Amino acid sequence: MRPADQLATFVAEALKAGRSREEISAALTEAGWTGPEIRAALHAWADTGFVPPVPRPRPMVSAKEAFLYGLMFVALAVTAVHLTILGFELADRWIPDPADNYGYYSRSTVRWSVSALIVFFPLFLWLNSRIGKAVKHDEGKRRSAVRKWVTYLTLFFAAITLLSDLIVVIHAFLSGDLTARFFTKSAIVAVVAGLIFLYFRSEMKEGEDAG
Amino acid sequence: MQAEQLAKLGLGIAVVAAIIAGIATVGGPAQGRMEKRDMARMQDLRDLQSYVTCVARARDKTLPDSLDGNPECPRDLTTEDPWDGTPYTYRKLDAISYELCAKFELPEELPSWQAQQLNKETGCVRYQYHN
Repeated sequence: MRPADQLATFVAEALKAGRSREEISAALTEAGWTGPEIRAALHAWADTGFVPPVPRPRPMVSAKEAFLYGLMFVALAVTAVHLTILGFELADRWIPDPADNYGYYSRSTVRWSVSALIVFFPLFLWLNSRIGKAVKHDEGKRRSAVRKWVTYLTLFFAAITLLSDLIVVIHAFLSGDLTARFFTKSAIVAVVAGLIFLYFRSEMKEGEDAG
Repeated sequence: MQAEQLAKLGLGIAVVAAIIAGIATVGGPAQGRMEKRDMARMQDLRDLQSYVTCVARARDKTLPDSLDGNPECPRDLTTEDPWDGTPYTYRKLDAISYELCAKFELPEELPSWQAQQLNKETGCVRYQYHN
């Protein structure tokens, strides 16, 4: 059973057993639930004294939360991808490698990636600080399912990217392709994925107590 | 919390540095415009080349002496630079080779596949007529 379901069941049973809302609230506070979570759980049942308790109509998941986290996830992904593409283009332009015919530098790609970064990186920062403030205001939001999913999904992609980068570097090393240009590109991928990993790992630690 | 700030700062520095390096590498909108004009000039030269090929084919492998007065291939051609009005020049070099010249603004920035036979100093492209 999910923690939110357990909470809802507990409140329903307690109300059914004739406990007052103050008592329930005190018990939940003691167990570590936050004020807004307790208020939401109690608010789910109408305050009429009717037994069994009458549920109030309410939305199932927070669509607003899904929107904010989804947009932040996309903004971060676009930033990471275009930062990497731009880094690759600059490596192709500035690090000569006579043996590499594939590294074709395109001005139009550089302009495109610069444009994408100008739009999406500030968006990511803004959403991030907005969500950060909301979490600070209401610690219970750390337990948000959307938040957990976005965090773990990001960590998953960052981990896969880092591991793949490592494979590619080892393969290049064995094939004797570890040129300055190639090394620079691998370093770019490692730094971008590593920064994102570092960022979301701290998020993950903070919300560990929720399943 | 500290790792989070560090990661955000690192990402910010990387993005700002990449944007600055990117713009410094490709230049601003004025340079983009120049590149577009040069590509259009290159395309004009390519049209002239196919015109010359058409005339030479019609005249039994003889290259024309000039770009006008060839009734064999009636075509709508751009024979002068659309921006500064300098005429594109056509010069016959020998029986099968000729060159077409234009005034390019940034010849070194033309993509390599477009500028293979281009002499970057003179702005001339050398062609050979093959049957």
